[in-house]
Amino acid sequence: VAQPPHGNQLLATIKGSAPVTDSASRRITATALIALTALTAALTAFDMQTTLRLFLTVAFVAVAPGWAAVDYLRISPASLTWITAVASGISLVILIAQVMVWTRWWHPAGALLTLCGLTLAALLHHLVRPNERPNIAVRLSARKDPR
Amino acid sequence: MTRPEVGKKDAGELLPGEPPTPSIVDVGAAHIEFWPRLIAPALAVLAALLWLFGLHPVAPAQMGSLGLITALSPALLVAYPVLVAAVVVELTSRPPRPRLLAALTALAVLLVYGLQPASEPTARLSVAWLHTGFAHYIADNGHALQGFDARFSWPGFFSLIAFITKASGVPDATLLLQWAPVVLAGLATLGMRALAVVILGNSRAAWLATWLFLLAQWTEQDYFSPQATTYVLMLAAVAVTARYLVNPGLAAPRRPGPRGRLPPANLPRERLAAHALVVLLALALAPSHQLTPFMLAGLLLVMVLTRSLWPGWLPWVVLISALVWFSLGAKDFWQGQLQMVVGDFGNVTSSVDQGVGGRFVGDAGRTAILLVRVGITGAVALLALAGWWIRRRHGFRSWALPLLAIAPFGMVTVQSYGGEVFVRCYLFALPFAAILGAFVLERPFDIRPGAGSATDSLGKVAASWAARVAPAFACAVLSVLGLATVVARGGNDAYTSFSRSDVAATQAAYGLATPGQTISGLTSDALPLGYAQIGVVEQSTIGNNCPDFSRITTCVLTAAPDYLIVTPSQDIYGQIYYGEPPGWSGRLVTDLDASGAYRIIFRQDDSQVLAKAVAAG
Repeated sequence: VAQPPHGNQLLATIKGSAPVTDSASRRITATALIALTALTAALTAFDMQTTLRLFLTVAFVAVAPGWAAVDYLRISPASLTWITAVASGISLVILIAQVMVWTRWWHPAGALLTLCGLTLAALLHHLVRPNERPNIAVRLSARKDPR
Repeated sequence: MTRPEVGKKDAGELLPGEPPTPSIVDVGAAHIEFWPRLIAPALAVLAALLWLFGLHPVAPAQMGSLGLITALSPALLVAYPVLVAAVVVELTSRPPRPRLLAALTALAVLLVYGLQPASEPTARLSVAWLHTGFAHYIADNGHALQGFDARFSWPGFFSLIAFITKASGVPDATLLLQWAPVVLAGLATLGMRALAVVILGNSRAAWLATWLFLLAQWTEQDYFSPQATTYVLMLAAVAVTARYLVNPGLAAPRRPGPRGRLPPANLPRERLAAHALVVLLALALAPSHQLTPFMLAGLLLVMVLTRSLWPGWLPWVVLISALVWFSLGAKDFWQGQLQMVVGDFGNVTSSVDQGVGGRFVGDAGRTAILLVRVGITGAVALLALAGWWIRRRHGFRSWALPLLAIAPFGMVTVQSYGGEVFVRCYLFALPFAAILGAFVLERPFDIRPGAGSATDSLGKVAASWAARVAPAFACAVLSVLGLATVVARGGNDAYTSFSRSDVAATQAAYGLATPGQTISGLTSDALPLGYAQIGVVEQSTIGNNCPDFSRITTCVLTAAPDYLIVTPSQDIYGQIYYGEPPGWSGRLVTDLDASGAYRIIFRQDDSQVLAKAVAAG
């Protein structure tokens, strides 16, 4: 029965390595989410009455804020990154909506626009922040792994 | 050519520090490997084509008490074993391709959970429509409705949907209903995949566990609901915990040592981030569902008791946040009915009676569907038990996984949960049972042709035979589970799915009713009622006060709702549960019309709205 590779995992996390491809995929994802966030914000700001707006808002809430936050944490593997992004994004919006319900300060469009702005800033930062170069020692260590 | 040996971790995603998948196919061998590598994608395409070819619209009236299965084409049903064959073929290849496996899994989510949305005319399940109504109320008013329904005491999910719909400028969330199961079940499958990879590493077993989960999830708790959403959050919390806060791993071979829990092998900032994530998820869970946060706390507590979870305080944070919400936020629910909340505590007999005996009602078709569900549950339990036994034989002594699979059933001692307790127990146990069961399905993949002692030719022949037959075993198990799940999930569709005319009838009633008036159906399980006018128009069901639908005409005249909605789905419900003859609701309408107390004011196909003579003016 295969086990999680604790040894390499430990070394990799201590050295702070990440595969080179992570940077490319991170930028592609950030670009796609920037487009999603900007479109959602634009449709909300101009109060465009279209069914597409509902589905874009759902997609934004489900993915964008969570991914923008979670990508800083460099969670792996990929499936964990994405489920964490979705779950934390949904949780964040549940808490925002719930606070608005408690306080009876019910302004979802304004709150959504604020969230879009914050998310956009984080996503733009993901786009421009420097690559995380993998540590050569870690890569060599990984190649020596007898498994 | 010598077939290269490739480690199991080539079958999945990489954890940090793992080497990327080695290139095992040299240039000379590429053309030899090319055609066999096309088998799995070809089977997947064939499965998709069969499914699309066999798909056709299904009206509720076409189904009998066995539900959707009676209206499905054989071609569509064949698609499921073909898709399972595709994934098994891919898992036997060396190395399996993670992206292809991910694509096959996404296709399976669509084929299994998208069957009803694709074939039925509107969103199914009356509760899903009702949840839209709750969110609609919050969107319009900015607060929950007190004293109306227990579910409003956990408004997190409804607030989320209200937030989204209000910010999107749409009147309600009915557009989201139909395909919600695909999205929510897909996210749960993603959560399961993450959990499996975290616990099992990048192995075939992790894929098999994901597929076991996907193909054995008959509970239908993935509709538009708080429990479906919070289930995803819970899986994420457990996966993050298992990845960053557990030491040793949940599938580690040895029990943790006696000298206390050791910090996991990662950085403090990673553990801090993981703590923050789990606390965030727990805070969102507390006001969103009455059961899930307690279940998460229980699972984390099991990890503490098995000395796996490093921060021993984490389950208590989850539990306290849930209790604080229950005490303060859900006061409206438990005030005056505390006996109902704690009345079942320790009363296992009551939970079993309601959860098993109480559900075996209805005609032979309904009973057959229930037996299919019991069969799937039993099969998964057997696989989990066998997986645990295999691991014991190989020296894996940790109790964490088996206890996590058993722990959800502790809920039976606390609550009957309205007769749904075993459904929920199975739902929460399934991820861990699937991981244990995957050990059974994975073992045959490890047998290589020609294995065995060189001097033992009989052993070599046996191993060779086993290597060829064994993937067929996994294929057969997954196929049977998948088909059984398709049968079980659609088992109630004769009355839980609705036609467009059913929705139109409800809409007509909403259009006619004035504030304070009453709209009723015959049963709450077979009508898309409650998606609008919550708190404005009273919405009820006659069946609540009319046992067995006996003397239903008298019941309607006694309850005297202003508007009564009668639909074919309710007719089928009466046939299945109370042995009413086909068309009994038509005779009810005739009787009411003849009595002069009601007259028909809307009719589309067989869906009708009757108005009380006074209400109709």
